Amino acid sequence: MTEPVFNTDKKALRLPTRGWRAYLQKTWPLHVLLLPAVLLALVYNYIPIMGIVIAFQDYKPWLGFGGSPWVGLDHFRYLFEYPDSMQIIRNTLIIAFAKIMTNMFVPVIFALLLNEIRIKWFKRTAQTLVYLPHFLSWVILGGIFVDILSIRGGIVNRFLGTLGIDPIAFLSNGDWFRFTVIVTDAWKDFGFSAIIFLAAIAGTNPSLYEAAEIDGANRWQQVLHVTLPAIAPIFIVVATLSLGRVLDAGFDQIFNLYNPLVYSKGDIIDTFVYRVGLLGSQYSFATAIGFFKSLIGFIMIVISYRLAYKWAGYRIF
Amino acid sequence: MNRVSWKGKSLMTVLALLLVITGCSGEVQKEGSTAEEGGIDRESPVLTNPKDFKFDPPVTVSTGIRWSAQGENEFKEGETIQDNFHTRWMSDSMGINLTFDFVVPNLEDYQTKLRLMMAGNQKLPDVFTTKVEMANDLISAGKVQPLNDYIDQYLSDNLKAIYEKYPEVLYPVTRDGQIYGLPNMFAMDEGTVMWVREDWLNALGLEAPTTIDEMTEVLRAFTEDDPDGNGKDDTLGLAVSLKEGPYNWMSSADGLVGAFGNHMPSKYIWEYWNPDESGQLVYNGIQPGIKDFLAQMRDWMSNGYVDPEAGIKDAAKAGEIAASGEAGIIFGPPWMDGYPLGGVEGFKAYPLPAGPGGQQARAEKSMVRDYLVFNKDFNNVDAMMGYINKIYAASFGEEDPYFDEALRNGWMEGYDYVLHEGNVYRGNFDEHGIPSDKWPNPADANVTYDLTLPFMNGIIPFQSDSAFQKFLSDPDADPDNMAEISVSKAKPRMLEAGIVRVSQNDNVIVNYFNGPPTKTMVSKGELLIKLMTESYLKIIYGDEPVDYFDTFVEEWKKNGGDQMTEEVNEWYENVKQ
Repeated sequence: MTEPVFNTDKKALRLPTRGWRAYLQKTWPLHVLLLPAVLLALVYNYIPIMGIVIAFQDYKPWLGFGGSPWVGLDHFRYLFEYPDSMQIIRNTLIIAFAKIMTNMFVPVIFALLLNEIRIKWFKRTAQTLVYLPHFLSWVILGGIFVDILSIRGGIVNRFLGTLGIDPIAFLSNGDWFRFTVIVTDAWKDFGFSAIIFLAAIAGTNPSLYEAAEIDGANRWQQVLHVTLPAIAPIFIVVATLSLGRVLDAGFDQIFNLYNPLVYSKGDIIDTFVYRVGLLGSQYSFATAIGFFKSLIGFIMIVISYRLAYKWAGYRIF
Repeated sequence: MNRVSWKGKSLMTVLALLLVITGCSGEVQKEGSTAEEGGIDRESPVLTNPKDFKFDPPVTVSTGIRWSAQGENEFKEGETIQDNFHTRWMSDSMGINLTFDFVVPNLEDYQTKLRLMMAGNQKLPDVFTTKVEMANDLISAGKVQPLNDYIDQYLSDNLKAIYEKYPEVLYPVTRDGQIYGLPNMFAMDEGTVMWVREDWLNALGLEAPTTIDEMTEVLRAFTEDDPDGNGKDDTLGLAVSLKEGPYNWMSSADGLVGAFGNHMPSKYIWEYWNPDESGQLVYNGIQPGIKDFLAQMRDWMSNGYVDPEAGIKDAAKAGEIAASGEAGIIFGPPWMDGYPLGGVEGFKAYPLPAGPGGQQARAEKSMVRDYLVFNKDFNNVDAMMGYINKIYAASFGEEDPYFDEALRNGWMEGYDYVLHEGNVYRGNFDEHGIPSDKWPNPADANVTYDLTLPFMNGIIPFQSDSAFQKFLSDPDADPDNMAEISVSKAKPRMLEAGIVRVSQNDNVIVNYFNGPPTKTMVSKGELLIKLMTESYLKIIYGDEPVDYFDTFVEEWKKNGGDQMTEEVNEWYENVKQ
């Protein structure tokens, strides 16, 4: 092996004083290490952004970017003038927002509860069991939920029956459908999302708890004044990032669970685009929708990031 | 240099880079030039020697294929999709060397591959199959060549007669009288029959229903009279999927819709359209007969005779309660004998029930699977025509001028059949006393090898109809052509179902519109289909009165339906001559 790349000489560790050239001379290995990641992001994330032009074209593959006719904002106009579009956008916002809320708070609460458990094997088993559903596809889960939630002998309705409650049409009544979608989505992912909070809790400095104990704090007060502040930064990061998905209500899930009976309450932008797409390769329209969703998501992230800084004094970057 | 200008510089570098890249992708070809006739400057052996033509020197044909192994017994040791008994037969006997530009596992990848090739202006394969939507794009882009001259000169008369019998199979690939593709057709043996639990009928002393009124009584008895005799209220009458409209690939209700008129709603806006008395094409989903069907379903639903979750289940899911022995009647193709009803002995196929006035019909699916198209730069079309003639001749039988002795009993001796002491065997080789070295797979007496044909399936619509009775009467009868070979493998109950299906071939609902989607279809089709499926289910589930149907029809017409009808008829006028 050659000599170590990093110069541990005291002189080199001093802050650069002779401009960026000298700075670069000392830190170039770090830049080289960064290069592959920058290139990857450039090639796979930035260059394809140019494809957005087809949202403003009537794109035909054989004519290419250069030859397809420009149509301005026609595709966006189509989305907003479509008779059902207000209903679809409203459904998307309601379902996505409810999902963001539940998917933020349920994992935190679960992580806090799990953290209080002292029996190690139970803690580990519970954690493994609850994050397993994350790895199941909605194609499979869709079929399973149709059975479990059946009004004809489904296990949930049978249980409700023993409590004297009439069978509930979870999947064919619009309001119950939204409820079902939100709850099943939380069930599928809360275990997985909790991992990051458990890690944050585990990373809390134990001396803080010791200090709290000496000050006479009980367990509840410890949670309130030590654990929660410790995971607050992570919570804000997760919240900020998830607000970017405010127009993503979960295509896979809705597509596998919905039906014409709940269109009015459960049809979302992505399922709508899918059905429109059945009628042939409408690249431009799909791109326009994707662009619209990214734009809204971007605006939401910027706003929530500013708010996080203003209220919580927290910066990601 | 300060920090800001460094930032500015890097930004400029990125921008410059982007410009270079845009510049590259900007070099897109001009509007596709019109296809040139691939001239043949040699004497074609296909014309001089139709039965045993051979190209010398051999010609090379490139293609792409969608293929994935369905089981472990796909090919013999050492053979692949690119190099197997069939490709070797092509080169040895005809002098056609087949090369593969790509092999992908599924339809989605196949379409993507072709689209990328088109977008990148790469050379497309010489000959390949494509779904009708993409064929439409390929023709518009001028990537494929018209075939009229080749069809006239080289294609077998028997096949041409099929195209004359079903002229509509060529409409989607015809532009201004020029034909750009050859259709791969279906056997059309999937028409819906009514599957009924005969053991339940016997237990309750009932007859299979022949009319909708009789059916109401049978459904009631199946639901309320404990037909499985277990003392529990755990059965119901009809298993059906209504989630995507009444017509589906199984668990369908098309046989019930057909009892109220010759019109069929489907989840696709381009079907079903058929002519009214004035000869104009009309959209089937808004016809008055549908209202009667919905009223009947609503009645059954409210009485609990129909699966209450029919509206949220897709076809496969809806079939489960028939397979688990909870439902007594289900509609669908004869092959439901195997899946999903394979485990329920009691089901038996019956003709579809008749509605008021004896009306009865089923939906017939589209006749074409996909189209074989020819690259505009491909010059050896005659060789492909000769090959196609041979494949179809195996279906037409030995009278066909292109009939190849090598395909008399199957695709290849030692693969899909075995010749032993002058007899042909297609399975159970040990029972027939055939030495194991002659078995297709010496390790297993029941293995035969199927063939994925690279271009055309050679299937002729309705050709197998007569074979069902033939093999039901005599399972060991000799098959006369490829269609009969495939029927000969079916189980008795499926053969019976096939006979039931054939007995109702006279009244089928056929879609007359098969052109590219019209302008309004693309812009409003989704809206109209959503409106339809939603309205149907609201009526069936009692959320809206039956007369809501009239409101729906008004809405449908107003929201683009009328305009679409005009466009469809414009297309129909053009292709009808």
